[in-house]
Amino acid sequence: MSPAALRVGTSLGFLLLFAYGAYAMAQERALAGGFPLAICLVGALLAAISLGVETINAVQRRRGTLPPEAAAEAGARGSTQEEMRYLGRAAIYFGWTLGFLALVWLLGGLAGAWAFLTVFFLLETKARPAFWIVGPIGAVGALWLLETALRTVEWPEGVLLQLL
Amino acid sequence: MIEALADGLSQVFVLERLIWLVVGVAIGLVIGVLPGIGGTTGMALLLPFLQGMDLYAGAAMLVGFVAVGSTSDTFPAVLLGVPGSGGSQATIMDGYPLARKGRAAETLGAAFASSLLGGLIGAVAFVVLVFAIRPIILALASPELFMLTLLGLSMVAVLARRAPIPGLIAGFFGMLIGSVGAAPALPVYRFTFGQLYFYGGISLPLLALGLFAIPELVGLLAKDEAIAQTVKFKGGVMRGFVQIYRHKLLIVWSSLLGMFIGMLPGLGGGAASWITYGTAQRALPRAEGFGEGDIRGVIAPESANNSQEGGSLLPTLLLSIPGSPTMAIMLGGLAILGVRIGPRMVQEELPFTLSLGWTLALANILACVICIVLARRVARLATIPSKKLAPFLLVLIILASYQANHHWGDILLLMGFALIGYVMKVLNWPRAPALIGFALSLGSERYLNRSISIYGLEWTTRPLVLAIGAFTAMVFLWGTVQWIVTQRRGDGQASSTDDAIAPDRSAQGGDDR
Repeated sequence: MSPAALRVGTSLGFLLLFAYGAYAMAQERALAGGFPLAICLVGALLAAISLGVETINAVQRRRGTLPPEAAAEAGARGSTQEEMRYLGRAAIYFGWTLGFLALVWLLGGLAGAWAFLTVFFLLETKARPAFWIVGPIGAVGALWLLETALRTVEWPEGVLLQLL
Repeated sequence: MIEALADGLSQVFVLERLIWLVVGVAIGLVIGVLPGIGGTTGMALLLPFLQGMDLYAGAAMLVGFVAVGSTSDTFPAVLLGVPGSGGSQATIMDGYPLARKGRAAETLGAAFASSLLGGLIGAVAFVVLVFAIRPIILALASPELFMLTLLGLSMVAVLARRAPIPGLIAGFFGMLIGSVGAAPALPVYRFTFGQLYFYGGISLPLLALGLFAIPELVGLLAKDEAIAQTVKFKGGVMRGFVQIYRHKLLIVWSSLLGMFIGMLPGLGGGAASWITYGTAQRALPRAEGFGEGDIRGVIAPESANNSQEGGSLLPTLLLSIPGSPTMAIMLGGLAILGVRIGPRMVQEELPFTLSLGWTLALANILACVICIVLARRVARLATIPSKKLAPFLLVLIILASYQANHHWGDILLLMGFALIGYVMKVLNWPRAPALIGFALSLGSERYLNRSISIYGLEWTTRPLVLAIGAFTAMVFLWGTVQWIVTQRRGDGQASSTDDAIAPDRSAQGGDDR
């Protein structure tokens, strides 16, 4: 997805969100739904303006009829390939984050954190053994201390632990 | 007055509270030194752990964190030429050239001392202004307070970068998220999708961590660059202190200006330091050296970005209008601690309000001492590669988010907000108004309901309401027209896509906008 399409898509997403909110709140009593309804109506109006402007810009960009200043700006900013490479790298790290969530779901907060950090430092950071061995253990120790010291702190339990 | 001041002071000097103040200062110091993390992320990380804490201890930790960030962010600005946060951007202009001339330690010394004095002036001005504007605050009724929240949101959205429409959309998005759960006036639950999880509303830390922390960390990892291999630290820190005596008037002027800018919603530390830097450059004699290594170019912004914290506390505490995302999180933190923000802060809660002024002063002194004593060690933190640091923070953020309700919904919601936050970061849409809108939503709805129940629709005809309304409409229209014009010219296009190809700028510059 190109940045121009992302801009249009984001404006559209917000428009749909506000439109849904307005629809849901219109059915509530005024005292409960009036305020969120007003928020959603103004938000929808702003999102519609944004969508309109971004769509016109995207169409002009596609046709090559962008105003000269905008075209110059676009040229100075670098290539779409560069943008896509950055977005691709970010997607990889979102993937790592999802991997961590899966580990926490399976093993629980502390064990999941240890496993994630060890694998990340080993495969992604390519850290020295001293770091990928000591780092995760230190981090898990600090998390355990935090849980012990503050009564309100609680880490998620893993499904494996629950099965046992 | 004296009694309230003494009461506030006595609340600060309790061992447990002082320990939490030191904890806040220490965390703020580390977060400030690490470029790319930003005060908003750090502050959001503290929130989940405030549950069940003593009011004064929790507040001391939050204020300690806020106060020290503007001092320690000078390390990367001076030593590496990379801003630790938005507030230290102007410091680079002269701080980095001075460091390259071998005067790094002296520059840091001058920066710490001006930060200290700026922070103290900000704290004193905060206390003085609390008493000075107390009658005005007490004269405001619900209709005026409601209109002020709308004005605050409009200003934040419009002034945040060059994207007022996206800023306003973000602000209304935050308000929408803030209205999830129980309605304040009726036993009606909104936007719950039949899930019990949403009945209690959405927690501020989830929104803050999702919109700011994860996108910043992912951006930091995706950038995949070492910020610096080594830090050159030459000269003597104490030599910088001498500069302070020579430029005392500049410090006082910059601090007062910074304090005033801090009071305006939407400007914050970045604007305070740039405006004072620009003013100093124009007003001072022999300013040709500005930008090439003039110590006055470090002193002015550093005084201002610390004093603005005192200024920004005023609208946050007295009117519930946070001027920056950090203050929005502060507002959320104080709500977790059980404080009811608003005009009550100058009535029943006056000693607590004044204790925050004392804490601010104490935190600035502590930050300056720690920065001087541990300067060389702290500076080394700035060279930690992102791939070694970010995973620890990622783990902490995700597990911290679970503290909101101890429910897996917290983590899933966090990831949802992270995705939205990342898209907004890539498109350079301001995310700060979303946090501020969230913080304002409940208060503004309550003020609106109260206005209607007390005055009916006549509240709309009150003179002050009309005046604030007209001003809000002007801000709103000005922002809208300006954005449409710049979009059509192409400038706004550039501004809204800067981060798409240059994400490092926002990542390194902190996330305070």
